[in-house]
Amino acid sequence: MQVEYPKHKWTDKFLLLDMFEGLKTTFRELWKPKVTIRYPEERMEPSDRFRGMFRFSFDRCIACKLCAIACPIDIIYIDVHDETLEQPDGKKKKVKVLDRYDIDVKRCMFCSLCEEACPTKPKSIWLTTKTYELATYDRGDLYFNMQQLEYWDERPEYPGLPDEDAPPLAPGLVAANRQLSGGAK
Amino acid sequence: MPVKETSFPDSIIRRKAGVGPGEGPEKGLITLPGESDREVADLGSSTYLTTTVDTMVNWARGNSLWPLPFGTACCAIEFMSMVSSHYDIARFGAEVVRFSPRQADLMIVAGTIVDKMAPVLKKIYEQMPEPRYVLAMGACATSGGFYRAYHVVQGIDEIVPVDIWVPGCPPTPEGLMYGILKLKEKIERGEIKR
Repeated sequence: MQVEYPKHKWTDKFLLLDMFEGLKTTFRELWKPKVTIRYPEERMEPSDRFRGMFRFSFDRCIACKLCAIACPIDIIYIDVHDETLEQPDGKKKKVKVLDRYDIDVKRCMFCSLCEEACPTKPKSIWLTTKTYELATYDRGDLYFNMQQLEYWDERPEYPGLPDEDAPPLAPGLVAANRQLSGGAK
Repeated sequence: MPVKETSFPDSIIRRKAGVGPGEGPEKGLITLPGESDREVADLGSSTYLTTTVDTMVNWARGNSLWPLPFGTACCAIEFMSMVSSHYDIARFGAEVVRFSPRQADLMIVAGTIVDKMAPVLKKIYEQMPEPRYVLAMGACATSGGFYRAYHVVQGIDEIVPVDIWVPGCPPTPEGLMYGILKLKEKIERGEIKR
Protein backbone atom coordinates (compact mmCIF):
# COMPACT_ATOMS: atom_id res chain seq x y z
CA MET A 1 0.00 0.00 0.00
CA GLN A 2 1.36 3.32 -1.04
CA VAL A 3 0.78 6.32 1.19
CA GLU A 4 0.87 9.71 -0.37
CA TYR A 5 2.10 12.39 1.92
CA PRO A 6 1.33 16.05 1.22
CA LYS A 7 4.15 17.82 -0.53
CA HIS A 8 6.16 20.33 1.43
CA LYS A 9 5.85 23.90 0.40
CA TRP A 10 8.90 26.10 0.45
CA THR A 11 7.24 28.36 3.07
CA ASP A 12 7.12 25.51 5.61
CA LYS A 13 10.81 25.92 6.23
CA PHE A 14 10.52 29.24 8.03
CA LEU A 15 6.81 29.89 8.77
CA LEU A 16 6.43 26.79 11.06
CA LEU A 17 2.69 26.62 10.49
CA ASP A 18 2.63 22.95 11.47
CA MET A 19 3.77 23.86 14.96
CA PHE A 20 0.82 26.19 15.41
CA GLU A 21 -1.48 23.44 14.21
CA GLY A 22 -0.42 21.44 17.25
CA LEU A 23 -0.40 24.43 19.57
CA LYS A 24 -4.07 25.04 18.72
CA THR A 25 -4.97 22.25 21.12
CA THR A 26 -2.76 23.79 23.78
CA PHE A 27 -4.36 27.18 23.48
CA ARG A 28 -7.84 25.69 23.41
CA GLU A 29 -7.22 23.77 26.64
CA LEU A 30 -5.54 26.74 28.28
CA TRP A 31 -8.81 28.54 28.89
CA LYS A 32 -10.80 25.54 30.03
CA PRO A 33 -11.18 24.73 33.74
CA LYS A 34 -8.36 22.63 35.10
CA VAL A 35 -9.17 19.01 35.82
CA THR A 36 -6.45 18.44 38.40
CA ILE A 37 -7.54 17.76 41.94
CA ARG A 38 -4.89 19.23 44.19
CA TYR A 39 -4.98 16.29 46.52
CA PRO A 40 -3.64 17.24 49.96
CA GLU A 41 -5.45 20.57 49.89
CA GLU A 42 -8.46 19.50 47.87
CA ARG A 43 -9.97 16.10 48.40
CA MET A 44 -12.40 14.33 46.13
CA GLU A 45 -15.23 12.80 48.09
CA PRO A 46 -15.75 9.20 47.00
CA SER A 47 -19.20 7.95 46.12
CA ASP A 48 -21.43 6.41 48.77
CA ARG A 49 -20.63 2.90 47.59
CA PHE A 50 -16.87 3.41 47.80
CA ARG A 51 -15.20 0.68 49.82
CA GLY A 52 -12.54 2.22 51.99
CA MET A 53 -11.13 1.49 55.40
CA PHE A 54 -13.02 -0.70 57.88
CA ARG A 55 -14.99 0.54 60.81
CA PHE A 56 -16.16 -1.77 63.56
CA SER A 57 -18.72 -1.34 66.30
CA PHE A 58 -18.27 -3.41 69.42
CA ASP A 59 -21.72 -2.61 70.76
CA ARG A 60 -23.57 -3.80 67.70
CA CYS A 61 -21.55 -6.96 67.17
CA ILE A 62 -23.25 -10.19 68.28
CA ALA A 63 -20.13 -12.35 67.80
CA CYS A 64 -21.74 -14.66 65.24
CA LYS A 65 -18.54 -15.03 63.19
CA LEU A 66 -20.45 -14.80 59.90
CA CYS A 67 -18.02 -12.19 58.59
CA ALA A 68 -15.08 -14.47 59.27
CA ILE A 69 -16.83 -17.27 57.38
CA ALA A 70 -17.66 -14.99 54.47
CA CYS A 71 -14.11 -13.69 54.13
CA PRO A 72 -12.53 -15.32 51.09
CA ILE A 73 -8.99 -15.09 52.40
CA ASP A 74 -9.69 -15.63 56.12
CA ILE A 75 -8.12 -12.48 57.44
CA ILE A 76 -10.73 -11.83 60.15
CA TYR A 77 -9.68 -13.42 63.41
CA ILE A 78 -12.36 -13.75 66.08
CA ASP A 79 -12.18 -15.22 69.58
CA VAL A 80 -15.33 -15.52 71.67
CA HIS A 81 -16.10 -16.70 75.19
CA ASP A 82 -19.46 -17.27 76.88
CA GLU A 83 -20.58 -15.32 79.90
CA THR A 84 -23.68 -15.44 82.07
CA LEU A 85 -25.26 -12.09 82.80
CA GLU A 86 -27.95 -11.37 85.37
CA GLN A 87 -30.79 -9.33 83.97
CA PRO A 88 -32.49 -6.61 86.06
CA ASP A 89 -35.54 -8.87 86.54
CA GLY A 90 -33.47 -11.65 88.07
CA LYS A 91 -33.25 -13.94 85.02
CA LYS A 92 -29.92 -15.19 83.84
CA LYS A 93 -28.89 -14.82 80.25
CA LYS A 94 -26.01 -16.33 78.34
CA VAL A 95 -24.17 -13.98 76.05
CA LYS A 96 -21.17 -14.28 73.81
CA VAL A 97 -18.40 -11.82 74.47
CA LEU A 98 -15.81 -10.85 71.91
CA ASP A 99 -12.25 -11.26 73.07
CA ARG A 100 -10.55 -10.62 69.82
CA TYR A 101 -11.62 -9.11 66.54
CA ASP A 102 -8.61 -8.55 64.32
CA ILE A 103 -8.42 -7.76 60.64
CA ASP A 104 -5.23 -8.15 58.67
CA VAL A 105 -5.82 -5.08 56.48
CA LYS A 106 -2.59 -5.50 54.55
CA ARG A 107 -3.99 -8.63 52.90
CA CYS A 108 -7.49 -7.29 52.42
CA MET A 109 -8.92 -6.77 48.93
CA PHE A 110 -11.88 -4.70 50.19
CA CYS A 111 -14.53 -6.92 48.64
CA SER A 112 -17.11 -5.98 51.30
CA LEU A 113 -18.36 -9.56 51.65
CA CYS A 114 -17.99 -9.31 55.42
CA GLU A 115 -20.28 -6.31 55.43
CA GLU A 116 -22.85 -8.14 53.33
CA ALA A 117 -22.75 -11.12 55.66
CA CYS A 118 -23.25 -9.06 58.82
CA PRO A 119 -26.74 -9.76 60.21
CA THR A 120 -27.05 -6.80 62.57
CA LYS A 121 -28.89 -3.66 61.65
CA PRO A 122 -27.12 -1.30 61.23
CA LYS A 123 -24.02 -3.27 60.26
CA SER A 124 -21.36 -3.77 62.87
CA ILE A 125 -18.58 -3.95 60.29
CA TRP A 126 -18.72 -1.61 57.34
CA LEU A 127 -16.40 -0.27 54.70
CA THR A 128 -18.24 2.81 53.49
CA THR A 129 -16.07 5.17 55.48
CA LYS A 130 -14.75 6.96 52.38
CA THR A 131 -11.21 6.72 53.68
CA TYR A 132 -8.28 5.64 51.58
CA GLU A 133 -5.34 7.23 53.41
CA LEU A 134 -3.84 4.01 54.65
CA ALA A 135 -0.13 4.24 53.89
CA THR A 136 2.19 3.42 56.79
CA TYR A 137 5.90 3.39 57.45
CA ASP A 138 5.67 0.03 59.16
CA ARG A 139 3.90 -3.05 57.92
CA GLY A 140 2.88 -4.03 61.42
CA ASP A 141 0.66 -0.94 61.56
CA LEU A 142 -1.60 -2.55 59.00
CA TYR A 143 -2.73 -5.27 61.40
CA PHE A 144 -5.75 -3.79 63.14
CA ASN A 145 -7.17 -5.14 66.36
CA MET A 146 -10.62 -4.44 67.79
CA GLN A 147 -9.83 -1.13 69.40
CA GLN A 148 -7.92 0.19 66.44
CA LEU A 149 -10.75 -0.78 64.10
CA GLU A 150 -13.14 1.18 66.24
CA TYR A 151 -11.06 4.27 66.88
CA TRP A 152 -8.84 5.17 63.98
CA ASP A 153 -9.91 8.76 63.61
CA GLU A 154 -6.36 9.99 64.15
CA ARG A 155 -5.06 7.79 61.42
CA PRO A 156 -6.00 9.44 58.11
CA GLU A 157 -4.83 12.88 59.12
CA TYR A 158 -2.13 14.37 57.04
CA PRO A 159 -0.15 17.23 58.60
CA GLY A 160 -0.24 19.27 55.41
CA LEU A 161 -4.00 19.64 55.45
CA PRO A 162 -5.44 23.15 55.72
CA ASP A 163 -7.97 24.28 58.30
CA GLU A 164 -11.59 23.37 57.85
CA ASP A 165 -12.57 27.05 57.91
CA ALA A 166 -10.16 28.00 55.15
CA PRO A 167 -11.80 29.20 51.96
CA PRO A 168 -11.76 26.81 49.01
CA LEU A 169 -8.84 27.23 46.67
CA ALA A 170 -10.82 27.38 43.45
CA PRO A 171 -14.45 28.17 44.22
CA GLY A 172 -15.62 27.97 40.64
CA LEU A 173 -14.09 24.59 40.05
CA VAL A 174 -15.11 22.75 43.15
CA ALA A 175 -17.84 20.46 41.93
CA ALA A 176 -20.60 19.01 44.03
CA ASN A 177 -18.71 15.80 44.63
CA ARG A 178 -15.50 17.57 45.48
CA GLN A 179 -15.06 18.89 48.98
CA LEU A 180 -12.40 20.67 50.87
CA SER A 181 -10.76 18.04 52.94
CA GLY A 182 -11.54 18.45 56.57
CA GLY A 183 -10.19 15.04 57.47
CA ALA A 184 -11.70 11.86 56.15
CA LYS A 185 -15.14 11.16 57.49
CA MET B 1 -0.57 9.00 69.90
CA PRO B 2 -2.32 6.50 72.15
CA VAL B 3 -5.50 4.67 71.24
CA LYS B 4 -8.49 6.18 72.99
CA GLU B 5 -9.71 4.67 76.23
CA THR B 6 -12.47 2.19 75.56
CA SER B 7 -15.31 2.40 78.01
CA PHE B 8 -18.88 1.58 77.20
CA PRO B 9 -21.28 3.15 79.68
CA ASP B 10 -24.32 2.09 77.66
CA SER B 11 -23.17 -1.44 76.96
CA ILE B 12 -24.17 -4.27 79.24
CA ILE B 13 -21.30 -6.42 78.03
CA ARG B 14 -17.93 -5.87 79.59
CA ARG B 15 -14.82 -6.30 77.59
CA LYS B 16 -12.41 -8.91 78.83
CA ALA B 17 -9.44 -7.24 80.42
CA GLY B 18 -5.98 -7.71 79.09
CA VAL B 19 -6.70 -7.75 75.37
CA GLY B 20 -5.42 -4.41 74.25
CA PRO B 21 -3.14 -3.21 71.54
CA GLY B 22 0.16 -4.99 71.68
CA GLU B 23 -1.17 -7.77 73.91
CA GLY B 24 -2.82 -9.88 71.27
CA PRO B 25 -1.43 -13.01 69.70
CA GLU B 26 0.74 -11.07 67.30
CA LYS B 27 2.55 -9.39 70.13
CA GLY B 28 5.32 -7.11 69.07
CA LEU B 29 3.99 -6.82 65.55
CA ILE B 30 1.27 -4.41 66.57
CA THR B 31 2.23 -0.78 66.80
CA LEU B 32 -0.20 1.98 67.54
CA PRO B 33 -0.79 4.66 64.92
CA GLY B 34 2.05 7.14 65.06
CA GLU B 35 4.21 4.98 67.28
CA SER B 36 6.51 3.90 64.49
CA ASP B 37 7.50 7.47 63.69
CA ARG B 38 11.08 7.39 64.76
CA GLU B 39 13.05 10.30 66.08
CA VAL B 40 15.05 12.42 63.71
CA ALA B 41 18.58 11.06 63.46
CA ASP B 42 20.95 12.69 65.91
CA LEU B 43 23.49 14.59 63.95
CA GLY B 44 25.88 14.72 66.89
CA SER B 45 29.20 16.29 66.19
CA SER B 46 28.33 17.62 62.75
CA THR B 47 29.08 21.25 62.28
CA TYR B 48 26.59 23.90 61.42
CA LEU B 49 27.52 23.88 57.75
CA THR B 50 27.04 20.16 57.22
CA THR B 51 23.70 20.11 59.00
CA THR B 52 22.49 22.98 56.89
CA VAL B 53 23.66 21.25 53.75
CA ASP B 54 21.96 18.05 54.90
CA THR B 55 18.67 19.88 55.31
CA MET B 56 18.96 21.35 51.87
CA VAL B 57 19.93 18.06 50.28
CA ASN B 58 17.02 16.28 51.96
CA TRP B 59 14.65 18.97 50.76
CA ALA B 60 15.96 18.56 47.22
CA ARG B 61 15.70 14.79 47.36
CA GLY B 62 12.17 14.88 48.67
CA ASN B 63 11.03 17.24 45.96
CA SER B 64 12.55 15.39 43.03
CA LEU B 65 11.56 11.77 43.41
CA TRP B 66 11.86 10.12 40.04
CA PRO B 67 9.74 7.01 40.13
CA LEU B 68 10.46 3.70 38.47
CA PRO B 69 7.21 1.79 38.04
CA PHE B 70 7.80 -1.90 38.62
CA GLY B 71 4.28 -2.70 37.45
CA THR B 72 3.33 -6.33 37.20
CA ALA B 73 -0.42 -6.16 37.76
CA CYS B 74 -3.47 -3.94 37.99
CA CYS B 75 -1.86 -1.56 40.52
CA ALA B 76 0.18 -0.17 37.64
CA ILE B 77 -3.04 1.08 36.04
CA GLU B 78 -3.74 3.14 39.14
CA PHE B 79 -0.18 4.39 39.00
CA MET B 80 -0.81 5.61 35.43
CA SER B 81 -3.90 7.35 36.65
CA MET B 82 -1.90 9.12 39.35
CA VAL B 83 0.70 10.35 36.88
CA SER B 84 -1.91 11.73 34.48
CA SER B 85 -3.62 15.06 34.67
CA HIS B 86 -6.44 14.25 37.06
CA TYR B 87 -4.15 13.55 40.03
CA ASP B 88 -1.03 15.24 38.79
CA ILE B 89 2.05 13.95 40.61
CA ALA B 90 4.10 16.56 38.74
CA ARG B 91 3.01 19.00 41.44
CA PHE B 92 5.48 17.26 43.74
CA GLY B 93 8.32 16.94 41.25
CA ALA B 94 7.80 13.23 40.69
CA GLU B 95 6.48 13.25 37.16
CA VAL B 96 9.64 12.04 35.43
CA VAL B 97 8.82 8.36 35.17
CA ARG B 98 12.00 6.50 34.35
CA PHE B 99 12.03 2.97 33.05
CA SER B 100 15.75 2.67 33.54
CA PRO B 101 16.71 1.91 37.13
CA ARG B 102 19.91 3.88 36.75
CA GLN B 103 18.00 7.14 36.52
CA ALA B 104 15.37 6.51 39.19
CA ASP B 105 15.13 7.29 42.91
CA LEU B 106 11.89 5.65 43.94
CA MET B 107 10.86 2.15 42.95
CA ILE B 108 7.11 1.69 43.04
CA VAL B 109 6.48 -2.05 43.25
CA ALA B 110 2.95 -2.26 41.88
CA GLY B 111 1.68 -5.77 41.59
CA THR B 112 2.15 -9.40 42.47
CA ILE B 113 5.75 -10.52 42.79
CA VAL B 114 5.92 -14.21 42.03
CA ASP B 115 8.98 -16.28 42.86
CA LYS B 116 10.20 -16.13 39.29
CA MET B 117 10.02 -12.33 39.30
CA ALA B 118 11.80 -11.95 42.64
CA PRO B 119 15.39 -12.12 41.30
CA VAL B 120 14.49 -9.55 38.66
CA LEU B 121 13.14 -7.21 41.33
CA LYS B 122 16.27 -7.67 43.39
CA LYS B 123 18.50 -7.01 40.40
CA ILE B 124 16.66 -3.88 39.40
CA TYR B 125 16.81 -2.60 42.96
CA GLU B 126 20.54 -3.14 43.05
CA GLN B 127 20.96 -1.27 39.77
CA MET B 128 19.38 1.87 41.21
CA PRO B 129 21.82 4.54 42.38
CA GLU B 130 21.77 5.63 45.99
CA PRO B 131 19.82 7.11 47.67
CA ARG B 132 17.03 4.78 46.63
CA TYR B 133 13.58 4.33 48.07
CA VAL B 134 11.02 1.57 47.69
CA LEU B 135 7.25 1.90 47.90
CA ALA B 136 5.20 -1.28 48.17
CA MET B 137 1.88 -0.61 46.49
CA GLY B 138 -1.15 -2.80 46.89
CA ALA B 139 -2.00 -5.89 48.85
CA CYS B 140 0.14 -8.23 46.74
CA ALA B 141 3.40 -6.34 47.12
CA THR B 142 2.68 -5.60 50.77
CA SER B 143 1.86 -9.10 51.95
CA GLY B 144 1.11 -11.38 49.05
CA GLY B 145 -2.52 -10.41 49.30
CA PHE B 146 -4.99 -13.17 48.61
CA TYR B 147 -2.28 -15.27 46.99
CA ARG B 148 -1.57 -17.23 50.13
CA ALA B 149 0.37 -19.71 48.09
CA TYR B 150 3.78 -21.16 47.44
CA HIS B 151 4.48 -19.21 44.29
CA VAL B 152 4.07 -15.62 45.52
CA VAL B 153 6.47 -13.60 47.63
CA GLN B 154 4.64 -12.84 50.88
CA GLY B 155 5.64 -9.21 51.10
CA ILE B 156 8.54 -7.75 49.17
CA ASP B 157 10.49 -7.00 52.33
CA GLU B 158 11.76 -10.56 51.98
CA ILE B 159 13.89 -9.26 49.10
CA VAL B 160 14.32 -5.48 49.28
CA PRO B 161 14.03 -2.95 52.10
CA VAL B 162 10.75 -1.06 51.94
CA ASP B 163 10.21 2.50 53.09
CA ILE B 164 6.46 2.83 52.82
CA TRP B 165 3.52 0.45 52.54
CA VAL B 166 0.33 1.35 50.71
CA PRO B 167 -2.42 -1.25 51.17
CA GLY B 168 -5.51 -1.55 48.97
CA CYS B 169 -6.50 -3.74 46.08
CA PRO B 170 -5.59 -1.62 44.21
CA PRO B 171 -5.21 1.61 46.21
CA THR B 172 -6.88 4.67 44.80
CA PRO B 173 -4.61 7.22 43.11
CA GLU B 174 -5.07 9.49 46.10
CA GLY B 175 -4.10 6.66 48.40
CA LEU B 176 -0.88 6.18 46.49
CA MET B 177 -0.29 9.90 46.42
CA TYR B 178 -0.73 9.98 50.18
CA GLY B 179 1.94 7.32 50.43
CA ILE B 180 4.34 9.29 48.28
CA LEU B 181 3.71 12.43 50.34
CA LYS B 182 4.40 10.50 53.52
CA LEU B 183 7.63 9.21 52.02
CA LYS B 184 8.53 12.74 51.00
CA GLU B 185 8.03 13.88 54.57
CA LYS B 186 10.20 11.07 55.83
CA ILE B 187 12.99 11.99 53.43
CA GLU B 188 12.78 15.66 54.33
CA ARG B 189 13.04 14.81 58.01
CA GLY B 190 16.30 13.07 57.16
CA GLU B 191 15.28 9.71 58.53
CA ILE B 192 16.44 7.62 55.61
CA LYS B 193 20.19 7.29 55.46
CA ARG B 194 20.99 4.88 52.72
